[in-house]
Amino acid sequence: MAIRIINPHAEILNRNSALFTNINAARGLQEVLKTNLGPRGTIKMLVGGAGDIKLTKDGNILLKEMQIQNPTAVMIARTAVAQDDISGDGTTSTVLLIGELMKQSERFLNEGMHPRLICDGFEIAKKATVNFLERFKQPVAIGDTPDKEMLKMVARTTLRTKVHEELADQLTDIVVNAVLCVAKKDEPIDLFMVEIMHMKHKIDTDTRLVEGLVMDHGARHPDMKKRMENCYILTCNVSLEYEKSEVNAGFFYSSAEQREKMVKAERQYVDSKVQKIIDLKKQVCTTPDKHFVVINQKGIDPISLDMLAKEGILALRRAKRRNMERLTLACGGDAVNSVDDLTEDALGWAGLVQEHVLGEEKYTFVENVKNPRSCTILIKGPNDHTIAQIKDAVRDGLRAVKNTIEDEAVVPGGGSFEVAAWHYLMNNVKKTVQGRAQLGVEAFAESLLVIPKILAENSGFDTQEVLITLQSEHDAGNPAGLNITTGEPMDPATEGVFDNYSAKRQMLNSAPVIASQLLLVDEVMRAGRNMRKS
Amino acid sequence: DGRTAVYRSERIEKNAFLQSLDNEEEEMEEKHSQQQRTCGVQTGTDEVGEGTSRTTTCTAAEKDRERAEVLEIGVQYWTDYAKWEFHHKSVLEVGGVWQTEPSSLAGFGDGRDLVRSAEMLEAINDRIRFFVEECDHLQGFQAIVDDSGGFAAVAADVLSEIADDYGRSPCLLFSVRPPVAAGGSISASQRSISEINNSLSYGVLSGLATCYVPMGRKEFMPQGSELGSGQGYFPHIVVNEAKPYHTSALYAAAIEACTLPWRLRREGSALAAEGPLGCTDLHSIVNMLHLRARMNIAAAAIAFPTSAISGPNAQASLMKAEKERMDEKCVHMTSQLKWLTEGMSDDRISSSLSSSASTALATVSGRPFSEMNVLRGARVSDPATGGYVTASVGDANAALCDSLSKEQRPMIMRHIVVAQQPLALPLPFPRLFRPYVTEHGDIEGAAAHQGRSFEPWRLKGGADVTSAPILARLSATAAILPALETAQDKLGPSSSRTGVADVLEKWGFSRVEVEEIRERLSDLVVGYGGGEGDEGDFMDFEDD
Repeated sequence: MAIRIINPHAEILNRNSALFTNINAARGLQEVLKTNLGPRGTIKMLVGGAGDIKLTKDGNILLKEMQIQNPTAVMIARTAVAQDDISGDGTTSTVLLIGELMKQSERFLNEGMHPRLICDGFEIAKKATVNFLERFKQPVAIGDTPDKEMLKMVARTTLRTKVHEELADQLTDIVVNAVLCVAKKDEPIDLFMVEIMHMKHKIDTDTRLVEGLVMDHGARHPDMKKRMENCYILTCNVSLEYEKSEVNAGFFYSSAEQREKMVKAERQYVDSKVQKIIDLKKQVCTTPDKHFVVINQKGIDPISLDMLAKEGILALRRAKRRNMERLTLACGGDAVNSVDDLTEDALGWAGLVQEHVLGEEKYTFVENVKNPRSCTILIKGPNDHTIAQIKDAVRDGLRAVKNTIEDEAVVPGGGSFEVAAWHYLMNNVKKTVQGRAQLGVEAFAESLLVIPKILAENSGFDTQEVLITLQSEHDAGNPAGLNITTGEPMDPATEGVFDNYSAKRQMLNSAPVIASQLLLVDEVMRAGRNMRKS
Repeated sequence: DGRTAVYRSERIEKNAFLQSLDNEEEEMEEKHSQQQRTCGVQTGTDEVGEGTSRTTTCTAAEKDRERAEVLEIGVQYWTDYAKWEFHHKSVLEVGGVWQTEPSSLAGFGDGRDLVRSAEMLEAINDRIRFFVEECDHLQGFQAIVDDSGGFAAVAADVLSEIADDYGRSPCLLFSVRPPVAAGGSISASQRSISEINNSLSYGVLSGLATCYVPMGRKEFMPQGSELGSGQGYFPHIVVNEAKPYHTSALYAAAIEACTLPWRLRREGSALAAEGPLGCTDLHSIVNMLHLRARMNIAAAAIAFPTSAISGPNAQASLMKAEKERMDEKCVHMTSQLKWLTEGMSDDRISSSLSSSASTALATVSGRPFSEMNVLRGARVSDPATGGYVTASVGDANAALCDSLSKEQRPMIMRHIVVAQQPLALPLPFPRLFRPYVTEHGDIEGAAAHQGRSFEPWRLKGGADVTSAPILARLSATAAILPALETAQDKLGPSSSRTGVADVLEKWGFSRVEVEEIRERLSDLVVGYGGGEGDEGDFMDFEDD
């Protein structure tokens, strides 16, 4: 072997074994993830070294948290995780498709076909399928008032694959309303404006959308009220605690009296800032039913808190930096960086501010706001893993809704796209291809069917039977998705099963590329210069 | 149909020490009564007729020794020492890192992407914010990091988050590194990686912390010497580098002492007779050590256990000749300080780690710019019993000032902290002390023992020595210059030839980033009086 001459210590795998290790790795990963696909997929339990448990059926989470050692599998996992980063969904499908592409190619490779030819076929098929997707997708009119029903259907489809049905249906409304709340016309949607807060409390179906903000801290003064209505909100980033000046200045004093005086002078500076806030409160709160709330990003020390409490002002310190932005979007007003020249214009408004105490943790709800442009999804669950599961699902749901608004299109789900694409590739595309690359196209088409097949398998139906009924339904000219409860074909549009267009497109673009690269590997050498030495 | 797949990694069992603590908790009732019994014995040992219950103390002590021994032999993780429960918000798991051999986090670059994701940074921010929100007066941040590997990069990301959010709060960063040769020799490539890590830590972390205190010596024993040979870096302590966490114990002692000034309660007047002296806040100390821009690295030194001071009583009552003898016996205190920072200049002078007692006590010198000295629980000989007692704050302060004045150095800005409480040593404190160190950290007849060999099993640990006096110093000094120059050289112009540039590129450092780090290092070198900086330059700080 040539490499032996260059580097006698190199570890190598020759062409055949290199290919089959890669194929096996891809299949292995597919085997692991395939049971998780679809609404009826099963759940995996990940147990960490310290005995911590994570229950999930989200492919992205699984791939991120599992310890994968096989280099090929790591490569596939990275591609799939990238899929999630870009489109927020479709991780499991990507892994399945890569695995299936490798599996289908193996047949032809065993017959002595060169991997280059298969890859050429993949390339042709990929282009054709992406084009087909353009025609297959259903446009969604967004405009000024987006089709809420359509958004809900997309959200429901993705959420049902992550959590149980009842919860998924509930989360559907939450995520759609949340995205619509933060969406602004002609501006990209910033999902960070949806705060996700969790409380270990009650049960998962108590999860709700708060139009306003929930913060995970409360007032630090016993005399401050726990519940206030009609509140002016001052959002500020002003230090209300005694701080040493930044310059390296020293106190020079010759008596205790002098020292006292200097400390007092420093203190006065802080007090005057607090007084300015109190002055504004007195100015705006003319009737006793109006209240005043200060939410500060910096600290407020006990003396300042005391001053504020005496005036009936509720004050929160050390608010999250991101919440400052959310607060002004939710309540209105501006975040001020200085208390000089405070005016009423800078204040926001909330109908209700209340504190909720759970054990040692305090939460502050700022609710009933006008025209919120930011909101909070409050996740509740009895234990950490339920919360984690919902959190991941909510993230994916938000992404799905956002994608739909941005794509202005959806793809009918339930495997109907895959069946249609198979049909298109086998009947229309394959014939136009010259030579043996046809086989590559065929392998690609067969691979697409992995999605409906595994959906059927996970739902407990016979895969062959389901596939044949789906294909004949499609031949009859009807859209054919799999009804996972009956095993019969259904029309995804009437059932409301829709996938994200961008997730599908991303999957079609990335899976064949990585599969081709793995197929074209003719030798594996552990002799790279930068490989870490063991 | 209920198909499930379970993938799990093996659970790490609690070690015997922690298990014994758990058992103890279960048997709290019984333990409680036992404790009372032993307490009674300890206070009553001077009385007669306690013979019967003395056996109880004996067995309890032996049990303690046994427990500590378990850690001495079988400790694997630092959490094995953890006697407390963590607050559930204080631990943040970093996903995707697995404990492997050799560590997958050996290089600075390996940690670069660990916490860079938006989710991770937000989680970190949330954790920090949670505790900050609880503070009435946020003094600042203290961070401790093992910056000899990938965690340095993690620390860099965390520190820059802190700097972003709490810009005005000072941040004091202690770095602790394991001894290089721990557990055997290392390959040339590993050595090179660790040198690059060193340079990056100096270059990156010093820029993010308000004050950076690197600790971690490469070795504590002269090459090839036996554990019981009586040689070593410290006069009264033997550090077995092969054992994990031996050096950690020392660094912990130093950090404990150095952070004392801002942990002291501000109670009543500072001038009260026996109250601790020198209580201040983090901000002041950090600013004192960081007198000028480009100079925010401080070196740490300790004298541990500190030998007894000569009390004023003794001075007054003894004849002059006798007093001189006493002075000789009580070694000049600050001269016992030994650097915990690698590569200090006066280290070079005594780098042979000579076995002779006199040179082993080479003074910590070098041109300091500002420094803080912390003396805890100084001991003084008690003429009445011939033993030692804790010195009063006044006496300890006088002795420390006296000692400082004997160091012939230019005027510098100096902060002194004196407290009567010695450093309490927990039970699992590793066996570091030479056999002649007594229960309260007194050095009994050290002169007779010094340099003499002894059997390693006679070393004493936390079970035998319950407290000890400690003198610690944080010092912004020019003596750190060689360490900075070493760091600079590694990334210097020759780096492309030596393959350093390749490593940096592999770790994802862009050319601009490397250039910035280089610039920062050369700034530091100039700041501390090296390079082109001229001699008179660093004497001109504010002296009014």
